[in-house]
Amino acid sequence: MRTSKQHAVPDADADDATVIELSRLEPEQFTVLFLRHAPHIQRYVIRRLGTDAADDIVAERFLLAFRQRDRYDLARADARPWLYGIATNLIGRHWRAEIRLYRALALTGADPVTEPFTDRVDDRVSAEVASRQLAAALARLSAELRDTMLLAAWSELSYEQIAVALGVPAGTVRSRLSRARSKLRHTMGDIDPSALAEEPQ
Amino acid sequence: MNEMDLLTRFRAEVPLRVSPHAEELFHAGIHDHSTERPVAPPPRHLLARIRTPWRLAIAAGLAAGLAAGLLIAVQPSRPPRPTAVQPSSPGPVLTAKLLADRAAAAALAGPTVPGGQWVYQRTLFYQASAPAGMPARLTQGSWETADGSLNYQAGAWGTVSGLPLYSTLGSLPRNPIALDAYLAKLSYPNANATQVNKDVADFGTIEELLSNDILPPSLNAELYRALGDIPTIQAKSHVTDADGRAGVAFVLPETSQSANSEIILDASDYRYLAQAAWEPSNGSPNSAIPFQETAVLTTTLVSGPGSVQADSAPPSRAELTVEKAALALLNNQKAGLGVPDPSQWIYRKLSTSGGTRESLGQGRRYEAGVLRQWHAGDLRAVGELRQRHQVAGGRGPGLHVDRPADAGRAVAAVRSAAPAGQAQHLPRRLQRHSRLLQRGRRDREPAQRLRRRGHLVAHLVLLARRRAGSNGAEHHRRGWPRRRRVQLPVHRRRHRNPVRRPHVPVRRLRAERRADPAARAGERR
Repeated sequence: MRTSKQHAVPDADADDATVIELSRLEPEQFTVLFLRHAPHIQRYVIRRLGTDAADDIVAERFLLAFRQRDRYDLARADARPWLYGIATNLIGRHWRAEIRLYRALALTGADPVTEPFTDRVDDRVSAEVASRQLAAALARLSAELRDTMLLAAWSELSYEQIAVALGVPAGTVRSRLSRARSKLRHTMGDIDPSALAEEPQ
Repeated sequence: MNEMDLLTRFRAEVPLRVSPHAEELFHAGIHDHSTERPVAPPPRHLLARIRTPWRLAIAAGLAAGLAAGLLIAVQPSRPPRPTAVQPSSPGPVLTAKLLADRAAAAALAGPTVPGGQWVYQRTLFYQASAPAGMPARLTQGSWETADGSLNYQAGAWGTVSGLPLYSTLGSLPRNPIALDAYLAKLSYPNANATQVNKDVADFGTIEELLSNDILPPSLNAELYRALGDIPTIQAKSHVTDADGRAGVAFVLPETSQSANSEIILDASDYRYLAQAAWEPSNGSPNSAIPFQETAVLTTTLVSGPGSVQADSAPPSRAELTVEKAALALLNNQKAGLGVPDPSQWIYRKLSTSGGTRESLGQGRRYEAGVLRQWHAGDLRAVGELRQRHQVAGGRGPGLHVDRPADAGRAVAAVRSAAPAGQAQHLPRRLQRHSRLLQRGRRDREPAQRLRRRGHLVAHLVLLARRRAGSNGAEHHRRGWPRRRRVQLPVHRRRHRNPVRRPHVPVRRLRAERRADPAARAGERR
């Protein structure tokens, strides 16, 4: 038994909840959600883990979301917190890779993540000192602080949405953010990127 | 700068798009899923609903919770693999709607091009049954401004008429349904057209717009969506265009009004590739050979007509004038060159009523029927550059600008060879490059940029003209950033002096001093 034709084809303006509801009956409708949000999510994942891992993660993330679509709370029109939450969880499994990338940038000044996207050799080799310090500082942050911080900086989510994505109260997001910021500020002040080599894991 | 700004800009080069590979993985996954479990379990079955998701959610939660901790550090971390991925798996059935959505998403990521920008397009025209004397495949280049107001093709200038211009495209209805109605109305102003007629007209207009014009990204996306909304349109995967590129297509099935026609998009990034029209089959099965097909091979933003290399700077009016003159000359001469190797540089000397003219161009340009030519004064410089090229065996008709000394010499050569002519307005970006080149700085960046653009010669000639023709007055009129320190009259310089004195007009002061020598003496002391 199918729904009517209008229901079967979601409007371009239909909100995410509607799309997810439709996709419970017709799985291929989930593609709309993918097309709508995958570019943003992929950018977020690439910025954290580089291009190699990102393809797998993005596809897997959406498939995971696809399988969990029955559990989605349809009262929430915007699915992005949900999707970013899943993405962040998946990234968490790759934390070694992520930290390795930050360290590589901090040590050499060449960023393996942005390398495929810059065509100029000059750009590649001369990352700013600030970026190196930042990468070193990010590598030292704890996972929960880093997740919160990077969601705040790189996704378009509000604090409340970040709280939903991470499954913590909104107040926790704020306190984590302020802690992370002060830590970053502190670490970047006295860090020497080249000294990171001796840093124990 | 605070750390949040820094963080926002950190790795901001990563583009906003989804990679084809990820999309493939996703579709393969969805496809597997929907074939093994075609109907989603009804929400009432709690067990069926919860089992898999909970397991995964718990696993994901554990992984995140222990990210800093023990478990993963002890176990070898295994990157999660999507289940049963085969690159060749067919994915979901491609519907026109789905294809339209994807194409629209891809189109939205495209660049916004200013209206005056020149665009070079190389197209391949293919006819299965070409008339005698005509080749079956014809490749030609054409230049057009993005707003469609001026174009150049095969030695003739023209303006495009009929279709809406870029400037008016921005005001088309953005809602796909309204846009459909609007497009259908363009061809069928009367309301009594049949649905089929409307569909055909829609398809034709959209096809025309997509193939001929550089469109604003948002409108481009809307056109694709509108295409997906036409009821009779179908989608077809695994098609090949006349150039042999793999694509997917929107298909308008054959009707009594029209032949079977297709809009072919690139299979990986949904870029517009070609339009094809089959011969009406008259009831027999469709022939596999398209009746005719027009494939867009390359689309490049260039500096002006005649230029085929990427450069987003719009041409100045003076450059256009030079081009027009060169083309007129070419048409008069009907130069009988064969078809040269596209990468071959050609040097030519012509005797005309106006004197001796020389030209330098790459084979491709000759093929397209366009030359760049310069007046005799500049030509020596061009010839010299070419010689340098031959000696260096380098990459173009220019010089080895990697070495600043070379660049400096070349600029000097051009400058000395340039005639006293009219000063040219140099694009601001090039101004900087030329200044840097003249200084012979050991700064590799501008040289690299110039070489990449491949416009060094044109640039140097422009530079030479400007150098030769400009004087102070010219600079002044053009508003060159020349700062001159104005020497104020003595009596108005008071505020520049550290010691403040009451303002007294100098004439009065002198008069007083003349009248009162004692005051003079006192002041001196």
